Amino acid sequence: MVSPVIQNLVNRLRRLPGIGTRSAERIVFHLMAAQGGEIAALADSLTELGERICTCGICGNLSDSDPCPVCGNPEREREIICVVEQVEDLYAIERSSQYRGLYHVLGGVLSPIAGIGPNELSIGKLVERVRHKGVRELIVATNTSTEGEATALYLVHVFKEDRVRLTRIAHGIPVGGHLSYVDSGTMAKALEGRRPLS
Amino acid sequence: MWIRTIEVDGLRNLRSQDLECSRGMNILIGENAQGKSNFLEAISLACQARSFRQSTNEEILQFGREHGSVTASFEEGGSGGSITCRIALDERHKYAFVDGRQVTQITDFLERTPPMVVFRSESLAIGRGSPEVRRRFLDGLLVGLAPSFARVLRRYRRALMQRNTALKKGWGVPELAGFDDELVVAGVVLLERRRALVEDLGKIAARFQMEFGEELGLSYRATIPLSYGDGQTLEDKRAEYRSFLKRGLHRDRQQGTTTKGPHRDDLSISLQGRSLKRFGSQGQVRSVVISLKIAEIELLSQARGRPPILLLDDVGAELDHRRRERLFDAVSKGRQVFITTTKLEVLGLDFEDCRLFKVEQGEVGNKVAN
Repeated sequence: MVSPVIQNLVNRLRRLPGIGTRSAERIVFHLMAAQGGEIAALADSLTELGERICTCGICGNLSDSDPCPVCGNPEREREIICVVEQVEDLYAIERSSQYRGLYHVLGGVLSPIAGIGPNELSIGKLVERVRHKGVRELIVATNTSTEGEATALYLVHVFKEDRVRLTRIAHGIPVGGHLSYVDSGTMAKALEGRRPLS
Repeated sequence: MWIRTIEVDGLRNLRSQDLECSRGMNILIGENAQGKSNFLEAISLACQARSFRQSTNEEILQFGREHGSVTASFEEGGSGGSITCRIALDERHKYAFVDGRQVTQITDFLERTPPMVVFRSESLAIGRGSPEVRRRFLDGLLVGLAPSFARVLRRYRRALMQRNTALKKGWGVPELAGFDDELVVAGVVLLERRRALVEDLGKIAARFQMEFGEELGLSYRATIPLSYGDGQTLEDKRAEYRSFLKRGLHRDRQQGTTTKGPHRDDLSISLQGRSLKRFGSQGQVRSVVISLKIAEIELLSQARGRPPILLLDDVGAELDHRRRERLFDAVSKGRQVFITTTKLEVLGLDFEDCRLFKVEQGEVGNKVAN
């Protein structure tokens, strides 16, 4: 007989990405055996997450302030905006610490099957930013999926009358990677996106 | 490359078992509905990560089982190297492993396993069936010749599905443009590969058909006939394809589907100058399909540098003596063959390096080894 309290938590955890029944049970048993107020601390963190995280009114990033730390940072270059599908992608780019511009989170990509058209994405807001904030360049960093590419091309259409420059993030050989291990699809992309050396 | 051992667990009606195969001819003998074809299907799963019957996981899994697997160890011809490939599946997913390490890209898996040619009674539909059967035949062979082509196919299907949905929902031209572009990029490659393949296939198949004194002709019927002018660049071809799409947009919108493209093309087959589909006799269809299959074997051997593994499902009964002999003559040259039959006499031939298996109620047993 399983305690409904335990079962309840297992069921909740199971709904999280990457967690199956076994992992959920491991987490629950780990927590039950944990010392020193770990459960309370975790509960507090979760409550805080629910209460304090909000969407940035400018770029769509998630953080505990509006504007978010990126938009609110005076050091960041304000004429470059990197367009990403999801907040996760923003985090992936931030991790490299190489990018000094701002972001715009679309909240998805065009997908007729999923019922996502331009109105379901935050494209209107992006247009507003580009036209009123003196943006010079948009780096389109959507995924290389069919939908990601289609969305990139749609953005080209949206901004074709504007003076903003659109660039596409490069796709190809991973840094430190051996050419012989690269799959042919990636290789084709890498060759297509080659750049002049001299 | 050949299969030295094969181990099945939890698939169809097959008993969990581990079998040692001959590098030449493997004959599976048994009554109907004992599991012969299921065993061939398991082999195709181990080599291609999918069933030649296009079955779903649920169909392949043994009744009452949540997991199943097939593991094959392959031996390289001369070098003596070997790899072990394993496909495990549950109701929703397939998992591929090579030498114990999981492979997430299907193309990476296919590049390491040997190609495969399947001949069964359903194969005759290539001659007489719907265009879809022939398109699938061409695309399947293209993947066999260059596994990375699977990506092009996937890309094309994805773009097509999105575009068709967008057409039905009445999306505007700018929103559609990105999907058009994806369709064009994949479509041009798909068209070129198919056309080149039909040419190669046609030459070899015609040579075999000539042995029966008949003239065989293959031609690719494209609904988007690109001009393929001299010196045309890839960009020119894309522009041409794009203009075809543009011209068809009104009709596409009315019908809510993409009416032209490789997904509507056909391979037209003629025998003695007449359409096989319309005028061919049953016997002619059989002999043409055999010529195509032999050509398929030849092409795969050339392109991959390793002979394909052949699966022949109950074909003895389909063929007259002369054609059967011609087929066996072509397949048994240094290639590994798995063939099923209800009666040994139907095969009516002596093979070197042959192993016999008796299939009864899902159990595949060694019968005689000579």
